Amino acid sequence: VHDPFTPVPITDPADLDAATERELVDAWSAHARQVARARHGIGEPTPPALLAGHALGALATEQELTDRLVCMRWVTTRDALAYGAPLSRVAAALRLEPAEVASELRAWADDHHEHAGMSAAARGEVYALVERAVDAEVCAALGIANPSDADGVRGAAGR
Amino acid sequence: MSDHVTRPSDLAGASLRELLDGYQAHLSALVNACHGVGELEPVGRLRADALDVLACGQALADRLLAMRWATVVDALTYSAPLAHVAAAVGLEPDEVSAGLRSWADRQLSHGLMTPARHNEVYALLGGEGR
Repeated sequence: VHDPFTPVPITDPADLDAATERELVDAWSAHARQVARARHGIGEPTPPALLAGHALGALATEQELTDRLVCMRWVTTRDALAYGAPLSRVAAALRLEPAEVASELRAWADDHHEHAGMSAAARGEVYALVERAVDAEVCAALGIANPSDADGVRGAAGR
Repeated sequence: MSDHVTRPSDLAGASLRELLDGYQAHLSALVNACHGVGELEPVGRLRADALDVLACGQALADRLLAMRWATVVDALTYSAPLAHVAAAVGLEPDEVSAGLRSWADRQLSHGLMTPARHNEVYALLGGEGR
């Protein structure tokens, strides 16, 4: 059902499930451009109702895209650690502190174990990865040998 | 291991499409490795792919969300109902109100918004969500 006050359909993020990421980026760019042009008084005046639709479209598409990015974020963090990436580099890539990455990754594993079917063993593997990464970080900071180095780097992340 | 660390700020000059292409290319390499598709990649390569997925994804999210509250202001200015804005950002209306006030307060305290504009933003919320 289209809202009568705007000619552009209200786009709930849930309505965008079928769109590809490329389509979402292009739609966001088109909506955001219209809103930005109006904000800066560029071009022909656009009816407010149409601009409201563009603003809502920009918000909905950016929400859908960021939801998808967040969805993959901790899976990829787990993979990065499993492939031997230092915690400090993972943190730099995420603009977080290493301690935040460790706690957020554990929280993600807890949440998936509780609500999304992650097995206790898989959760335990995530915890072990975090523990090993934190150990390595501590040893590097203290300039001491890391006993875990003898274990080598796991070659497979295993989803 | 290379000392190079890709940070989201290193990607400031990339377009949204370039960020998305980079994100998807590196993610595909991880997914292929996970499922044993294609050539076996060295662990160091996959480690770099994973870090680049994280950096590209973060840069993409940063870019998309940078204008979020300004766009909420635009939507309300053009008379979009608060409930529609809330639906678009996946929040409850009172969460949008609180988020918008918090953003306006931060903008004001950092000198990025005039007191008059701050009042206008608050006025957009009217009695809703207060």
